[in-house]
Amino acid sequence: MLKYILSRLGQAVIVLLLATIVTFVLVNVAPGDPVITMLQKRADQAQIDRVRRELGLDKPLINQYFDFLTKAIRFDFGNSYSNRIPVMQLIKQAFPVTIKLGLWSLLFAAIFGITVGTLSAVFRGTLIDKFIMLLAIFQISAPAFWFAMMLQIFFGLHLKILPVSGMSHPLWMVLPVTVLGLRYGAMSARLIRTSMLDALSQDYVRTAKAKGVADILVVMKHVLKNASIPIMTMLGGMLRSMLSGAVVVERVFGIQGMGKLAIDAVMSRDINIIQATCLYSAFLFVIINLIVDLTYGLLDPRIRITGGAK
Amino acid sequence: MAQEVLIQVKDLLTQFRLDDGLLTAVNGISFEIHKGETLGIVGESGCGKSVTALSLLNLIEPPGKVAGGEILCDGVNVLKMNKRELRSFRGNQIAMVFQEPMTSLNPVFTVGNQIDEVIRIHNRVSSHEARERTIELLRLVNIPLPEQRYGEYPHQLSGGMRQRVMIAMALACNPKLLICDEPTTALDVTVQAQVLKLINKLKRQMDMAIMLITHDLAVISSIADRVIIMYAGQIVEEAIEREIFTNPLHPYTEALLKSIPSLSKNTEELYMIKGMVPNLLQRHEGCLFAPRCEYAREICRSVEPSSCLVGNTKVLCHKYMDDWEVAP
Ligand SMILES: Nc1ncnc2c1ncn2[C@@H]1O[C@H](COP(=O)(O)OP(=O)(O)O)[C@@H](O)[C@H]1O
Ligand SMILES: [Mg+2]
Repeated sequence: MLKYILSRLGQAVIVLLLATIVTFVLVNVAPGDPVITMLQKRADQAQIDRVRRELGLDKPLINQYFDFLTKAIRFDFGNSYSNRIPVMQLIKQAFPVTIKLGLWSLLFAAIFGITVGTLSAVFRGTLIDKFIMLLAIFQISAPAFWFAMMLQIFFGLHLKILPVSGMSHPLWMVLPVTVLGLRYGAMSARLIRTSMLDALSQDYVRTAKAKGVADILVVMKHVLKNASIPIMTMLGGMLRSMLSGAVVVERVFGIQGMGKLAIDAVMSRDINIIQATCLYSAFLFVIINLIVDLTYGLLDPRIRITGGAK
Repeated sequence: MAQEVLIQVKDLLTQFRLDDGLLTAVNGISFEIHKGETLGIVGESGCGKSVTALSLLNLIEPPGKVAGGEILCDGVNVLKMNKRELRSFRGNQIAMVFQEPMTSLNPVFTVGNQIDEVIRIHNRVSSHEARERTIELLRLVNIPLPEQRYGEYPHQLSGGMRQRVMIAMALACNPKLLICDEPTTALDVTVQAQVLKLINKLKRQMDMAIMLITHDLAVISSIADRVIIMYAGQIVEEAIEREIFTNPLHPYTEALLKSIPSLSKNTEELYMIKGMVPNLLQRHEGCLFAPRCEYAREICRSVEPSSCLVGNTKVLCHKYMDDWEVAP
């Protein structure tokens, strides 16, 4: 198990390093000059050169990269070009919002998806199954912004029991979490149904029944643990995309999260924020994959003992 | 030999409702299993052996269904049990070892955990007691280093070892009947012999009945007390073991005997039964074996034979019915 963890950690570090290079190169080859954007074309050449020097943008790219890397390791991404606030401070404001929203939505989605997906698998082919799958398809195909707005109109404007948008009301998270949770829950329900059906048809299920294991335990113990690998993969993917910031939902509900921070930065070509949010996404990707990989090891002895030959 | 009846199967009819029709896998069979005996069930693959075994545990699942008959265990009809009664019956009164040792154990739980589970379902014991009992069982089925094996996962064991684990698991609650469904088919020849020897030893030691299912007559010779030959969901012959090998009555039994390699005179040329197993989705007239039978007459193709007693052997064949001599 230790060898497995170490090899996964090593891979994680390499991926992160590559991510810093890619982030750096992409931002620097993208067209448009950030200094000109920043000074809004009123500046003369001398002024531009001075700012460029201050920001270290006159040095060779390779030096710039190492500057960037050494600072990034200390979580220093400089100031925002547009309002001079340290990037880290902006992230420190946006991140807790996103993580709260993301984790609640994930919890909602996981409970909803696993319950509904399992029910659907156990009652496959019946009306329950068909009804659940119909609702799931509806949830997946309805645009998020449309569904969000319907909820805003009904609960916010019509019933007036929940805030339409903003983050000041104590119940501000209810609608966004509902939108995200239902959507991801519906997506996962379909996959969980498939994984559960696959596990349910295995020989060991018949063995368990022949031993006298109760039906509910057959599903909750024998089947769910076998189906949990694809389920974990999917939950990991969901967590990743929720923590990168739910752009549409943050926009519709006026939430100041990572998604909004990233989109605004791209719009205003705020290089330091773009770099920081890109690295943040890469970091999330690596960390979450690492956690998912490690839970694979916990869930499946074949991975744990043979050291990840999957 | 007047033996006590343990299981009585009466007119068991098990069918599968498939897209292209109703498949009759077990077609109204009746037989008994006596206390402490070894009953061999033999027939080509697809003749309904596994379905019969699963029916005994009332473990047929949709699209299948036991459509008729009774299965009496100590006088109680297994087919009428509710879910709770079934749970305490399965694994406790009748236990089963399946054909596929590779897939019949759950890959994500330890061997010990899976044996503990069956002990703890049927007995009120602490986890410590269950563990002790499990290790004892592993020792009983000749698994070396049982304490160490207890914590290992199925993929760490060989096929033969896994089948021993399955047997240990089946024995955990001292069942009255152990059903072994082709327990050695998936194993190497040398391992096969060991596992069969083990089953035979355990039967003596634990005083239980065994239903040994196989497609290979050679496997049950000298192990079984009585043998049932199945063909296309029916019992075509039922006799004590010696009679089957020395004096087979049904033409199908004869053919099966001829196809055992060591018994055929010319070992280079393996005897094969001509023709195909009948399609169980269709209704048939006459004897199901008639299209492949070398003795078949007109009557065989049109009239269904009924079971008759020749000596102590029960056989389902026109040859032994009263009107055979004059039959067309
Ligand atoms: N779950 C199932 N669904 C459909 N048909 C089945 C199922 N199980 C068994 N059958 C059919 O029932 C017949 C008997 O099968 P089985 O008892 O498994 O044969 P065997 O004698 O080889 O054990 C076969 O024709 C098989 O196709
Ligand atoms: Mg079979």
